[in-house]
Amino acid sequence: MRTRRWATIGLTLGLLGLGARVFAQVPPAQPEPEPEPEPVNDSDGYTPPADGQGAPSPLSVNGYIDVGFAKAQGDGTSFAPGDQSVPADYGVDPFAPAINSRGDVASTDSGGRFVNGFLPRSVGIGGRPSFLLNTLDVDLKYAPSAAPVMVFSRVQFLPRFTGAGDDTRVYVEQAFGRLVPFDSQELAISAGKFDSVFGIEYLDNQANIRTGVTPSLVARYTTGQSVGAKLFYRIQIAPLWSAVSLNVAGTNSGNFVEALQPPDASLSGEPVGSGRLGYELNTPIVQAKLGASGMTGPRNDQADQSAGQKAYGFDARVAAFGVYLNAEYVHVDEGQGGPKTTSLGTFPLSSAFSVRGGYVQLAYALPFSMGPLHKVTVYGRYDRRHAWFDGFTPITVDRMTAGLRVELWDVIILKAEYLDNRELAGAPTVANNVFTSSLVYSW
Amino acid sequence: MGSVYSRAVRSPSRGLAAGALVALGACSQGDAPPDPKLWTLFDVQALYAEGAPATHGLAPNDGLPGGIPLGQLLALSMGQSALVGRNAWEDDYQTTYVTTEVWSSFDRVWMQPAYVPVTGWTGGTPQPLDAGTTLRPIFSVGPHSGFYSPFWQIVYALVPGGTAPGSVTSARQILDAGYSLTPSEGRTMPLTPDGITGGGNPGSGWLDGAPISFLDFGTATFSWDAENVVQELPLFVFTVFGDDGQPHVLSEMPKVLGTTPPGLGGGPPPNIGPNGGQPRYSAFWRIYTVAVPPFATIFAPPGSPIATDMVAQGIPTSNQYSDAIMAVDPTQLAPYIGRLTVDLTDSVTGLPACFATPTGLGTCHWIEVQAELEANLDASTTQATGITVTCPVIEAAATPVVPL
Repeated sequence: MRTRRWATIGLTLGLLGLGARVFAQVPPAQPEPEPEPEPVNDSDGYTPPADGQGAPSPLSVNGYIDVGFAKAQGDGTSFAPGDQSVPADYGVDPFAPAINSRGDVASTDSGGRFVNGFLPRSVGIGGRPSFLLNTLDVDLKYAPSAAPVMVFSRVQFLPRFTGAGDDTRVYVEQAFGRLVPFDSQELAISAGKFDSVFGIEYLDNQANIRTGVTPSLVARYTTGQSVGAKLFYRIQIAPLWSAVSLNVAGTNSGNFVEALQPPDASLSGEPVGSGRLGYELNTPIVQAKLGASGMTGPRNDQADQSAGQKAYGFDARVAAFGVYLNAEYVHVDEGQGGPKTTSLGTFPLSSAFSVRGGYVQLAYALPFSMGPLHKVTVYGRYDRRHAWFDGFTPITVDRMTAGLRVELWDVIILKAEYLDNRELAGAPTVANNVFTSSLVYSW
Repeated sequence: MGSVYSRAVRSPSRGLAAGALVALGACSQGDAPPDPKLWTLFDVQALYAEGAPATHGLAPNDGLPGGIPLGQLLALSMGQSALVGRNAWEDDYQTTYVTTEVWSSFDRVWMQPAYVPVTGWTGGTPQPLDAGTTLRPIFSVGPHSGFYSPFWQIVYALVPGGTAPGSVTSARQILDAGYSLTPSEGRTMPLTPDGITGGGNPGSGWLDGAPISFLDFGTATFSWDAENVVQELPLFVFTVFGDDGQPHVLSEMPKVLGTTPPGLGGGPPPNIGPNGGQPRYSAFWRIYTVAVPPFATIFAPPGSPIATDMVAQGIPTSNQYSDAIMAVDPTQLAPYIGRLTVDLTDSVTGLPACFATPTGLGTCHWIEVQAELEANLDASTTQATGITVTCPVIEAAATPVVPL
């Protein structure tokens, strides 16, 4: 109940602060479907800028600031009062009470119970409402006109204050160089630290791109960055308004988020292969993207090369008449390995683990704009996740998310959403619903 | 259940990915920490079913020469599985213990909750919902997890009146219902395949709504800290160097059960129970190897199983035992076979004087308790292994230890 109240307050405050100007503007221009933004490392290819005076600078600086306000039910975790089984993070979904686009949760405080590293990052607010500076993102891109090369870095400042004190990090989320060897081909070779190639949700990792605020319940398995090399190739089939693409990578850790598998070094000494085969339909009315992804290799939260991880998934995105449909299914199996090391620390054992899950998201961009009010989008998402650690009760959880996104000018996005987390089987029922909001300034 | 070795997901098609990263200089890492492994009685049965012999060693590379043979956990006979009793010494008592779990490279083992629905308390005694039956706990973690533990804390869940017996069978039901929970004693209760005999009181509980068998070795068999980590005690295993220069474990040589952490001198176990009680031993141990020093002597008269074992492994042994010893019915010598003494030896026979007669054996300074071991042997020859075990004591001084 309190969460809903804070949701109302947060949304009202946000709209009041901006609404006066928004609704005082001239009538809207004709709505125009906008293509979904693509992250820079997955743009279509390299296009040399014009030479000479007036040519755009080869160096560009972009970024965004993501300011949040969130309130989670209960103590901000998914741990059930009274439950004394250990590890505490094996019988519940600690990722459920997410509060920002990074998947950080309100709390991971297990109350002293032993946990074994199946944990997201935490903003440490527990069940208290709080403003947050989720991310200060700085992107540098250098694309000289004289070479078919692009260099990109994304550094993020993550101010955090947890119960253990200041926990602020400066995180290099991406840093890679990309070579496009042939002008006539959409072929790009990248090396460094880059986005996942699995599925489609990684495309929405950043707060200034993601439709809503929080990632899905399966994002933790598909949206992580890692260090390695990748190859992207796309061939256009113009008569069919279509294209077929292939994106493959060999990296340290595959596609898990850094909280689960460290991406910056190979612990097993063997790379993880991943890839996606995609089909695109780009007609003037309907755009659709379909894909199948896979991943295989040793799990990178331990050193035993025989402890493997395999994943496959299917995805679809359809955009038409202002309606955006995203859906994804993910199937992951991990074998048991040695002592576990994640970005959060070391743990005794990497247990065998399996998960099946996915989501369907529907967004509708209202067909009007007014002055600075460029776009209003309502969205909803349904997530479902069935997972089990070897020897532990399988748990099934789902989540219903409903939210509103308002874009002002080209630089401000205001988002607010409510997450209704439910434990359907296996896990004890716990109050872990979340209201969260996000104000994103881009430059 | 499947083989314990089937747990890892193999990756058959890594060649492509590996090739792709050659240019990036992917290379192998240094020595990785050993993989933690747990063997339960389910795993032991599965290994037997796959054809493993009783000599197959569990955790062979974790500090104990040869590991722990399957045959020291379960014996198969006529399609039945029985726990195997092993001899040890503690506080001048010859004891018998059984082994139900083996952990390799686990530095900690946790106690887990086992819920027991109750309708209330009468005179301080909980009244189980399933009245008239034996204890039917609801276990929270199954035996196929690396975090499974046979060390359970009984947590009484007060169910409302009218709850049907047998209707609460899962931990989720307990937690979802918000019952009042009362943590109570810790009990050693290994989950087992059906029909295992040889120790403990057999019972049946629940795991995720399905019945599961267990053996109850009772309370006062372990202690735990604030984080529910079960406290380990040392179980000393003697090793002897053979002519191959390698240490060997003599299977007939009794172990020494510790009663305090290593170096603290041991002491008698607590006596607990009615009528003056019985000695209560830990059920959770870390195995320590103790190298038999040159000045110590193992009682191994020629022809005894241990002497045969020593000869087979090239371990020096004396054949100068007196006629008085050799003439005695071997069953009378059985209590002394394999025991270790630090009495001075005769330079001719290589044996201490107390070995001369059967009655003299009673005067030897045997190493049979932790205090004597730590007082008489070089501590540097005592090494902790990476192996911990569940070994509840089922008999002490020829009297069964009755689970409380």
